[in-house]
Amino acid sequence: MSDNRPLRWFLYGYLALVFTFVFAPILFSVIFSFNSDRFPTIPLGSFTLKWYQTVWNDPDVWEAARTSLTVSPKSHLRSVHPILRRLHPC
Amino acid sequence: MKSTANLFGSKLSRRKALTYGAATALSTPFISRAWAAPTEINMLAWYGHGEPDVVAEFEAANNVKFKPKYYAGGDNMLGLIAQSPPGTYDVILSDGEFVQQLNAAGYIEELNAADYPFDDMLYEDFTKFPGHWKDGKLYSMMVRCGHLGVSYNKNAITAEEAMSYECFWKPEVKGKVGHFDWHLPSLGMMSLYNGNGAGLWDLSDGKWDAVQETTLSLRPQVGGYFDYGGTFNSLKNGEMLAMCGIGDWITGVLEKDGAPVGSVVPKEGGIQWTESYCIGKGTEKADIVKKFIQYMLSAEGQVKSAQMAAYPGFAITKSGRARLIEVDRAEAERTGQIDGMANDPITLVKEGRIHYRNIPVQQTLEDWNDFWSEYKNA
Amino acid sequence: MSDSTPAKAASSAARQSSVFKLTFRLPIIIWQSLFFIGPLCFMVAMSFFIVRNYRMQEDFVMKNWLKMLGRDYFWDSYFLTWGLAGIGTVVTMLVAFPAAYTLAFKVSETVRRWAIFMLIIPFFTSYLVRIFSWYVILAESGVINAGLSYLGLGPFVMLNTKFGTVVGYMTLTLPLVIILQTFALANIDKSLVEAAFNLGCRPFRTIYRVILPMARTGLIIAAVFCFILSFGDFVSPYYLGGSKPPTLPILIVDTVKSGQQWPRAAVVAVVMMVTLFVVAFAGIMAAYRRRFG
Repeated sequence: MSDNRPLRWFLYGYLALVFTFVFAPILFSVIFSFNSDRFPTIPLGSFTLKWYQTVWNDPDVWEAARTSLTVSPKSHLRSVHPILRRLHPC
Repeated sequence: MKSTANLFGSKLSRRKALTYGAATALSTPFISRAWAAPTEINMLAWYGHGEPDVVAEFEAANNVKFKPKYYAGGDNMLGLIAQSPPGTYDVILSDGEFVQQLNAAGYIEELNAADYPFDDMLYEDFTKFPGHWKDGKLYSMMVRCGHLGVSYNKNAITAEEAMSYECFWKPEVKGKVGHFDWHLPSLGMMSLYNGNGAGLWDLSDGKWDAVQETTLSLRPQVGGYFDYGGTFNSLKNGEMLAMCGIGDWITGVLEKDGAPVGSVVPKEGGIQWTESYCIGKGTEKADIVKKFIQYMLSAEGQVKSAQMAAYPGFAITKSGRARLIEVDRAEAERTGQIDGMANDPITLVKEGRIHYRNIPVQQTLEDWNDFWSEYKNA
Repeated sequence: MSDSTPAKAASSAARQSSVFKLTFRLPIIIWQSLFFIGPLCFMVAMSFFIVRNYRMQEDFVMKNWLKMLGRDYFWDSYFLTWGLAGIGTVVTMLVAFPAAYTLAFKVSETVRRWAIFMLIIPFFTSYLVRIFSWYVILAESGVINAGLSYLGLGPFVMLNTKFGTVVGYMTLTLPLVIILQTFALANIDKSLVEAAFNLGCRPFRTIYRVILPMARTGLIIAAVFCFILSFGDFVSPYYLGGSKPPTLPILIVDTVKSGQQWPRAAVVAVVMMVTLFVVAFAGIMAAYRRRFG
């Protein structure tokens, strides 16, 4: 593989750009989870933990978390089970 | 390599500590609930009616817990009920115009008129709201209402321009007019714009064609069709400068948040949305539901309804209005809910500038929905 | 009974092993039939039911098919969904390729592993929340336009457009496509690439004549996944495209929300599924087609 320096750096920069595209929405939602405004707009409001508090105190959220934790391993096992069978030397 | 096994005494107990810790953390909110075992009430309503800011006080006082299922649009509500076994929903919040269909299909219980404060109503018409009575029997109790009209961004449309639906066609807002994604209120507004007045829902073939034509002519101005969340977002960040099919129930919330938006009832007329509570057929909790409906019609309940975080509504009882002026005069002034104010909603209704929302008379809901899909694709 | 020949012993062993294999395969066959094929058949049947008073009733009418397929707006939506998903796939594949190329050839094994790990993270997050985040970034008063205004460039309308929809599709599919493309590229025979270089082939030509054909299978699979996911997506065209114009998934929701026309929605869904089966089948055929010569 010929070592083309400018090409390599261009590709690294491009990769960084692509990762920015992928992670920008995630980063923004984390930032706005600490924002005081109810709707996400810029400029930002003030820093607050109130949304985290609201979610922590909501029993419906805990109920949903419990459901997710119990259901998803079951469905994961069901879908992996046939694959595991195939890997069995038989 | 030094083993870290002795950090918590032994590897085994660390794992146990983590498991117990996680289990405790996950079950904390359940501990306090387990002692009380409150009665669950299943509610079917528009978004926000089962939220703490409205029901928390009632829940605490009566040891109940509301389990809301939210819908968007009366036909959506009917569909949800049709698909569930009788008794699924204990209390149903219905749009006024859909109560008739709920009753015809046998989804609601009869109410005892003596239980409810009819003499406290602000407007005589509300005591005999169309569709809520059948053969002298009461089936649903009106608890709040609101008005739909022109919703606009104050920086883009002036207050005078907003007094007519014509402002939606303004060239300056091309591509910035949004629709709430439900055919009924938007097409009703187009019908009012066409001058159909009180007959806005009763359209002959010719008039229905005219309404469709008017609507299609608005298409180049349309920026998008939005659900509840999308409507809020678009108006808040200025993507949309005007919105068709909504009213103060959306802009009121945004105004409180500081956005330069507002809603008015234009000269062609506005539409009133009405919300009424019914007791679901086959419920075992009819007594507590009755108590809840009475609570919502009491002064405290009416204030809670007027100040609802999800979307505000008008108080419909005299005591409710009086209490609102007492505890939140600013809100009462903002919405004109003080006797004598120019935009007093009751005055507007009395003057005939407001028409109750209804389902189309000569077409089916399906026809209107069909056209709505066609409109989106135009 | 000791006259069993080696052939008989072999065949009885083979029979035993095939019974054994069947027992292993049975659970997945039953599972697939119950939870995949069953609902599929029910959905096709449902497209012939009728709705009366908001209640669906079993029936066998052609009305739903005739009504739905006879509507202009259905076909408009159909071709639009094809177009948008197609453009989304092309754009995603093109955007992903240089990134996958870099990860496959230009970075160390460790970096590649970390990159793949990071690309799996988006799958742990909520797709819907990520789409809402794009509001803030793409809005006219949003981050991008604010930045561009410093450069004196006018505000661009990016939300409620087909551009917004494609951005949404990319949010959904880009991580997966990069991962699939990276695996496809990383698993080719590098000695052939080196041979091409030794013979004087320039980088771009190498990609076109050597790398792409060798990675063809994996790349086509990536494209097929991307198309299928985009075609069936409801969230992006609704929230970032403004439902304007609506794609087939939006049409399904509209049909059900108002009037509860599940049978008509089933018609749209069946048409979508047939389309995607055809696309997937064609894709797999193209991917695994043996090269002659």
